[in-house]
Amino acid sequence: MITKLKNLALSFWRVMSKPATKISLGVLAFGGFLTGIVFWGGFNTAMEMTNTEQFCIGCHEMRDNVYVELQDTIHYTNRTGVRATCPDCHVPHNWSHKVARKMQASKEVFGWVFGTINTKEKFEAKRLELAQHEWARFAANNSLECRSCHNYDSMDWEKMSPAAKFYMQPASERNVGCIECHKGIAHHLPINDSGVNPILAKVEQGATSQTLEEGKQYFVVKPIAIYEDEDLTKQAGTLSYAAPVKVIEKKDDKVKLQLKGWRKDKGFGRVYHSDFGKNIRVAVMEKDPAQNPDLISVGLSQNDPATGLDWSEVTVEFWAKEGAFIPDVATLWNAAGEIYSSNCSTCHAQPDPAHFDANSWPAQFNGMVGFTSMDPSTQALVLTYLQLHSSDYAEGTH
Amino acid sequence: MTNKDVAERTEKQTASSEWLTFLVFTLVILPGIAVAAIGSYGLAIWIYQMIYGPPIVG
Amino acid sequence: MTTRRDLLKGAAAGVAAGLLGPSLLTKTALAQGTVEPAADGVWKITGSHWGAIRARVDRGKVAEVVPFEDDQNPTDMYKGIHGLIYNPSRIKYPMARVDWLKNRKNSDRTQRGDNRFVRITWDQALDLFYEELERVQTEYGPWALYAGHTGWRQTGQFHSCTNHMNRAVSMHGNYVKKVADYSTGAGQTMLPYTLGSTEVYSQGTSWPLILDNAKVIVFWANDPKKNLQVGWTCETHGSMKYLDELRDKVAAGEIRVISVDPVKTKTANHVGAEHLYLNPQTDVPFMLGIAHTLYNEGLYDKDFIGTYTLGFDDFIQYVQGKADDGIEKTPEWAANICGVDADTIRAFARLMAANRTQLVYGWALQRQQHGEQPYWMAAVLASMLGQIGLPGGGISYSHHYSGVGVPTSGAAMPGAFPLNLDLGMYPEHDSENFNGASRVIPVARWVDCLLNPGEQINHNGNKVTFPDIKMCVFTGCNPFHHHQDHNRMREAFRKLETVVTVDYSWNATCRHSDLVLPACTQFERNDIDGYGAYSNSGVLAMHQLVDPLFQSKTDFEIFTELTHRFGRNKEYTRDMDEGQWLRFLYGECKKANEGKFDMPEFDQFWEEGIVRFPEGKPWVRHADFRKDPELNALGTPSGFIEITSRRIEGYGYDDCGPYPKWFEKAERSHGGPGSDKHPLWLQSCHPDQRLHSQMCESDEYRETYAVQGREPIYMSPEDAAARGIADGDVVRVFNDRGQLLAGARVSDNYPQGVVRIHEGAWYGPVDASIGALDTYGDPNTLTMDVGTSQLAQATSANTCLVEMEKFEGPLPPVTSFGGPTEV
Repeated sequence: MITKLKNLALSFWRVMSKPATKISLGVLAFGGFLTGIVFWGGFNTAMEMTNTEQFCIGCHEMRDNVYVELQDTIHYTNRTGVRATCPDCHVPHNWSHKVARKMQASKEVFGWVFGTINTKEKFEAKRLELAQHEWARFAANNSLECRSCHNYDSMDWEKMSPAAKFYMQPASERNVGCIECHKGIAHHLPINDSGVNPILAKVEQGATSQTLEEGKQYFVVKPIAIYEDEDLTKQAGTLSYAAPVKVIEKKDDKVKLQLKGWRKDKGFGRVYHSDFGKNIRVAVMEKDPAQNPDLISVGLSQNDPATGLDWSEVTVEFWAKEGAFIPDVATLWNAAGEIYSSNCSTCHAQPDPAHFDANSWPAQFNGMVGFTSMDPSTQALVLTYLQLHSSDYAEGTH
Repeated sequence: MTNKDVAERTEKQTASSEWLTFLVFTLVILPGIAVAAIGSYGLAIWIYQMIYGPPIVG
Repeated sequence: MTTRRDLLKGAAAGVAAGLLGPSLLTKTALAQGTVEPAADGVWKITGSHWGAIRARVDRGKVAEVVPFEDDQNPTDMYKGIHGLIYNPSRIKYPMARVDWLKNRKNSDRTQRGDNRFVRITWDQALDLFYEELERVQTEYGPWALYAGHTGWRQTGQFHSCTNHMNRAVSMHGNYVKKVADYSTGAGQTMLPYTLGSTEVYSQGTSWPLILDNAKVIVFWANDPKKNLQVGWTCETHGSMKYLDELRDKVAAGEIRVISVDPVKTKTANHVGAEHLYLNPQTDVPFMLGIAHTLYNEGLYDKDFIGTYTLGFDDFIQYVQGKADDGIEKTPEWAANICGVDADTIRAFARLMAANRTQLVYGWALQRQQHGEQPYWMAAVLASMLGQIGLPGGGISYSHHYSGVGVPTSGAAMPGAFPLNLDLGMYPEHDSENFNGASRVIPVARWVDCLLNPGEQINHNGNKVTFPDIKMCVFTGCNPFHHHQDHNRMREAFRKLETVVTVDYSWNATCRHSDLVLPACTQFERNDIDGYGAYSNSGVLAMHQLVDPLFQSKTDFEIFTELTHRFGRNKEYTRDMDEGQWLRFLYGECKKANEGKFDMPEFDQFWEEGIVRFPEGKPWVRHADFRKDPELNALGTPSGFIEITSRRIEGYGYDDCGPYPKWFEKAERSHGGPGSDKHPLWLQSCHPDQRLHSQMCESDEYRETYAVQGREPIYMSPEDAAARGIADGDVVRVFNDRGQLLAGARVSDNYPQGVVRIHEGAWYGPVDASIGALDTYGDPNTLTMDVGTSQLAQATSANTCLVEMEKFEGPLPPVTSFGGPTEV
């Protein structure tokens, strides 16, 4: 058998290695040229076949999930009828990268064969990971695919709504990639955002792809559980919105963090505040960990003349999961400020954040917040925002 | 079997084997190589991207 | 003026009302929701501060108004709605004050208030409005414009006129704004220091829990039966049934209700409460006497004081006479001032300590000089009783307001047309230079501000410097009703170069304005509203009943046209019309409720008229704080109840702090200062048959309570007899600040030395002079315009003494109603 194949190859080579004797050069050249054209045409046609929406939604994984979500968006229906199909955004337009992406699709074929995401539940479980792949790609190429249709230079600021212009114009000056702000523009965001304010959901989304570096300071974008141990089994407490933490150590997707705060001596010392004498919450500890000297180092006690209460500085170290921290807290404040001004102006003009001081804001806020539709978590964020932008922290007020 | 026999037989078979070889080469082998080459090129870029990250553009 | 639309509508209504096509007014059509086509018109649904109604509209006119069937306890005031739409006080055309139109900023301002106006066109009016804004911003600066003065706008979230005016004027330039309000200024400033929340607008313990757990309920200067008739958004009257249940429980001997009030209130009479009379403005001595009893008899809750409060010891030194004035606040000491004998004070203290006691305070208490003190002292009493955070115990400052006490459904309510500029929008004149003056002033002091520009006052721990205001813009409020001492106000208004008022009825503020623009009523536009300000019972469609009357326009149209004058109208409207806005606001509300409450598509909602949400779970105020004071700390500086406030002490005010104290008033009846000259205490509480000054102009309805066409003044038989006054007489009521005519109503509900005129009676001076006789009977002609204290600088309307006499001369006609004198 093997000998037979070897002979066949040998005879093939013999013919190949000699000049043709019976077929004219013209026929050979024409035949080669013709098959070349046919091949290349066929190849590209086949590749383009795989580059259509019809092909993409040939699998129910795409058809029943992301495609359905797309249909509610402006990229599917709009007044001018120009629309984006799956590959317009998800396949690079550059030929080399397109081929590379097609090779990557072998993973998708693998997933399809083994049913990695063949149910709604499996898809939802994997949604964040899948989305992160796409975000990373968009982040790296600075949203190249978006820009094949959208172009900063062609945007007419005068025709844009002021709110859009407010964000778009500075973004254009820094050439910010579209995806940085427009995650979730065509499909649902991975975090289950029912109940979460959509402005906030975007900030939280941004934190999921943030990698943390040791020794640097970050801010938590939402209340998260913190743990005594690196296996995250013994909960020590909960961080509050915008709590500033320093990364001490990293292990896989877990980080050891340090938080400094102040607590009142009256009570169980469970609530940590950002500054001495300021009721701005940064963390709430569980009862036992709050008294655990291995976890917490407590400084000297000081009396606050404004209330007569004693306060102590505390430093606590704990473990938490990555994915909820951002290096620049301004994005969180932008979101909070927007929520505040829209929710608190339905009945009256909302007071300027600097109209009250940090310790007066809770009372003002508690007194009126019942009239808004903010959920308790959003309320906590907005209150923290108001306190940290109160007359105690703003310059030149009163 | 003599050398002459071989030569004669080869002589007779030349036309058909040349045609066969030509067709197999242009219609089967070369397209196969081309697809494999493009594939490896794609794979190479993919592997490159796995190491050095996705393509970075302006 | 008949439009094509009128013709179409008339024809359609006559032939097949139910098939009436979409309104041509709006690009985005709203189908006209109907219940069922009636032979003589169409039934439509809408809402109001007085509750939801269904109205039969026949040939473009409202023919009949009935309460919405969900409303189990409609207020009688729905009968006034027809007259609110159709009355001679409606503003028909844009009008300008005669001399102002000629001379503008150099006009003769002593003529202000003479009610002589010239009719002008809309284009003229809006040009003038714009020119004046432009002039004030360029000639002076943002400090010269005051436009943030707002109040009880008509209901409807989209057309909320406050939002429209503020947004439009903000797009043109910056201006001086106000803080706090006339209803609760002292309370909302004081209580954050004590209880860590403004409290006055907070949801309170649910009525079912109060009725199940309380053994004693104290209504302290509180009349919910009267005040719950109206609501901030469309009122459901859902709390009224609990007052009926309470009446039954009182009758069955299960609950004792005690009404602490100089007057036998509507509520007290309704539920059969025991009346505990005390002299007006003497609540603090009375409460100090109670505190003395609780402390010295060991009846107070030491554990509660220790765990949840700070500064009790300092306060008790004052009670025991060991600090401050050195006077021991015994019940005997208190009895001398408050007119309640010492044994009754002791018995009342023991009763409250021995039972689950719910204290329910009204707002009248803090609308007096030193109004911070009774509210602070009430919180101290509640702390000593130690029942804060328990069902049926503790303290409330809000159960008479907008359905507080009906459990909240938890559903999101529709948002409103944006009051603020959108992100990235900036005013045409973006100067932030307020010339060294404050850009926010405590609202009740704005007349001081007009009179004394540049003056610096204390306010809530800060210094406020009065700006030199030259121009005011008002909408959705009537300062010439809610501000004190109209004669002083008239003087102040003479300092203003330009006053622009947008309203639907010609009230006293219009009379004192220079430019008056006619808005339509809420019944002449489409809108949506939350049903129940606290219960969040549903979302209500507000169908336009009839077209805007005369030349009136919606606020949306008025301010779109104003912003068009500086090329910003598209930004102002976000390029959406009424229909698009309603769909947008409804859509946002639906989104916010997704996964929690089902809401149909907009068209179905609009057709059905209402989306209902199920009643929420009963809830106890302050229960979370009681459960864990550390985690659920109060919003006070310390997080605990502050009986003594170090912060207030730090302000160093001589009229407030460091703990609640008794301060003598500038005027006080029953032997107090000034009572020898003007012996009667005038209370000017919220009306029973109006919403503040709204609906006073509803002629037929007003006639049901007016006396000889005048606002009633309620008085005791003794006071009437002593002055030879009979029920039904017209009387002249006066003091050194002013004089008014009112119609005598003699009633056993009133004790000697106490008279009442409901606020909101329309001011009707005989002429433009200062001191002019008010022909209808606005109590604010007589009230005193001083701040409560340096802390809140709030209104002191209830610190007011008057005298009265039978009016003998020829009766001047009432000048309040019927609009201006057209020249």
